[in-house]
Amino acid sequence: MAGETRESVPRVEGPLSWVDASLVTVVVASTAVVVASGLVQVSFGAFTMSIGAAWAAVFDPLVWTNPQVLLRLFLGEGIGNAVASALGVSTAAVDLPKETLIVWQIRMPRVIVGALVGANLAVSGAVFQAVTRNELASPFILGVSAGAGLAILLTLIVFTGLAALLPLVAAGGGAVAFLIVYAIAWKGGTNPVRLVLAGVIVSAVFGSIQTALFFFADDLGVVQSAIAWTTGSLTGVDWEQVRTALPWTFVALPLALVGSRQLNVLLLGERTAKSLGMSVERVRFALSAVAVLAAGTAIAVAGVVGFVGLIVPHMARQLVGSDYKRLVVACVFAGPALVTLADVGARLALSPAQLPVGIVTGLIGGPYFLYLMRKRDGLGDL
Amino acid sequence: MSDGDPRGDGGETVEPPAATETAEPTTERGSEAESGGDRTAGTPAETSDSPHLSVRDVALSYGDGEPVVEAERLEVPAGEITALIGPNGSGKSTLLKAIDAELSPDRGAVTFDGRDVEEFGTTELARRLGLLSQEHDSPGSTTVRELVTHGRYPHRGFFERLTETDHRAVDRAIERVGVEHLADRPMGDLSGGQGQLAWLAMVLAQETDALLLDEPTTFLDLHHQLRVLDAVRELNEEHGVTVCVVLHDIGQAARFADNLIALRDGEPYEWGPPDEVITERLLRDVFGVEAEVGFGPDGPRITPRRAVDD
Repeated sequence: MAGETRESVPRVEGPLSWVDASLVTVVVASTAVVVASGLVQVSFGAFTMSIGAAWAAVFDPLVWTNPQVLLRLFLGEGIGNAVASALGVSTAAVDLPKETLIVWQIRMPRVIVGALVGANLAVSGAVFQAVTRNELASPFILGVSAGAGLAILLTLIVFTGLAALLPLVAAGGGAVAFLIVYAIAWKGGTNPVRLVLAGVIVSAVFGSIQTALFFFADDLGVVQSAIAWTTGSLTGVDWEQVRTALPWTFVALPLALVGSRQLNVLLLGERTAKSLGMSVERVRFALSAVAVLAAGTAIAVAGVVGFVGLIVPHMARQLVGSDYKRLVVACVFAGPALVTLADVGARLALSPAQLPVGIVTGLIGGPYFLYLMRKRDGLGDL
Repeated sequence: MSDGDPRGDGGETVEPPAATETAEPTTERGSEAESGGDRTAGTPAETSDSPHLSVRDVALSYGDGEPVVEAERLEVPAGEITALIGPNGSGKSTLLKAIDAELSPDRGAVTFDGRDVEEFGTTELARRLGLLSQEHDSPGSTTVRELVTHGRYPHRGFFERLTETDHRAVDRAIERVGVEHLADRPMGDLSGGQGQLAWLAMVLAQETDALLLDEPTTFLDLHHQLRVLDAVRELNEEHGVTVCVVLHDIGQAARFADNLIALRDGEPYEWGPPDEVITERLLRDVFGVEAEVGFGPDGPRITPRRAVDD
């Protein structure tokens, strides 16, 4: 064969050979958006400071040169000190200026949690879009949001004793709903259509029960709290939420990246995937579980933030293509960009009142699909 | 390929004919620069016999329904090309699913190289038996090379990177079907025929010693039909790969295959070399067509006259 000599040159294949210009652009642009939104976010509040002052506080050398400060913030007082001493770092208290203290102690968590929520939801949506082979799937397509919503309402209204465990209950409710969906869809195996239909069934029933429960709420505060949870809000998040989300994020996102080759093969059609030796059912369930873990992580700290998991993978696909390795990485960066930007909107739109961030993501999501519908004639054709 | 009479007349088990020996002895890798190097990894030539597929007393159905296919005995002889023919709904694709272990028979078994296909692990089977299905789909932005690389899936561990062997297999497959010039183009830009060649390359990159092809030429223009069939024929002749292919065009099947299996209503009507299978009676009984069958230089020639109802 003619071309053989050309191929005898050993191919240079570094571990990052799949990174291309479009991905780098997405990563850099998204990071810029996160930093910019973060700076705006931390400069607002009861104690208003200029963007310049906020910048100075975020990059205060006292924070960055004393690792114990960051360790204590990210890991909590006890573990942070333990890790610091294990690493041989001083555990001495550091006197921080007022601005730095306000930004780091009170305002940064909101930006960090927003970024974690965005990354988890975007990756979760990307995985579900491959699993259901439907580019309009979201992390909540298999009943996760309905299960979480119902669990939240039950906790706030019926089992009020569990209120302290609300984040855990919410994520757990989502996972349980997902398992019910899978059980309903299972008949010697599943397929994307059966899964989506089962998701619709469970979401409809759980949604109705959830709405019914609102009637039994006798306190406006409870209703507001329930709405904040079921639309998703970053108001009032703390380092506690960062510590809750961080470990699970570090489990779910790498797993999704590792699964990217499986996702790519799954996209070739079930029969092809099987003929290539994939155990389709096992892989599909495992990947769905990873996606539910990511969605559950986001729910536990911010409630059910809609549209992020739907639009971010969709946008990312337009920019970097459908290869899942690139797509997952793009989502890890673009998700935080959308959520932190939307959260700036949530804070500033009706200032001083604050909206749940989920309302803003919904307001962004609708027009995005209107734009897509106008631009692409084929969208929505069956 | 003339001795390929796969029929076990009566009931006694006739050993399928041995694989057609591949021409040259296989040289190990390393000398590929001058030999062209485009041989299949672990070619059957190295072990001297290709696997044969046989179907024993099977009944196939979907769910709890009536059997769609019932066959007492069918052989896909080693190292030869066997075409499944029959009208729509005669059970060709169903039979192919059983051969690929996608459909579990209600009774009986399909054996691959003497072993029940259902006993194979999924990866193990995928390394030895490739399938080009009709129901395939790829994201439009996937390039031909990326698609073909997926053919290496069964050969890679969960965390394994592409090895030099994988890259070579991908290059060979791309060259064999002649899509080098399209290798970096996205699938969404290709015509139907070019796309089908890319899919064939993906299956060839799997480097299996048997291939199942489900209507690989349907909907293609004549040029691409021949490109697909030529690539398969070449692979069969050079490496003795066993091929089982569903074809819609009887004339094409007769010219292309060493053996035909004609199915009617889920049962084998006749099987054997094209000369013996293609008869006016078969065309009437199986396909509902009145036709004249003549003899051309490359097998039977069919001139359809009119459709008949029975």
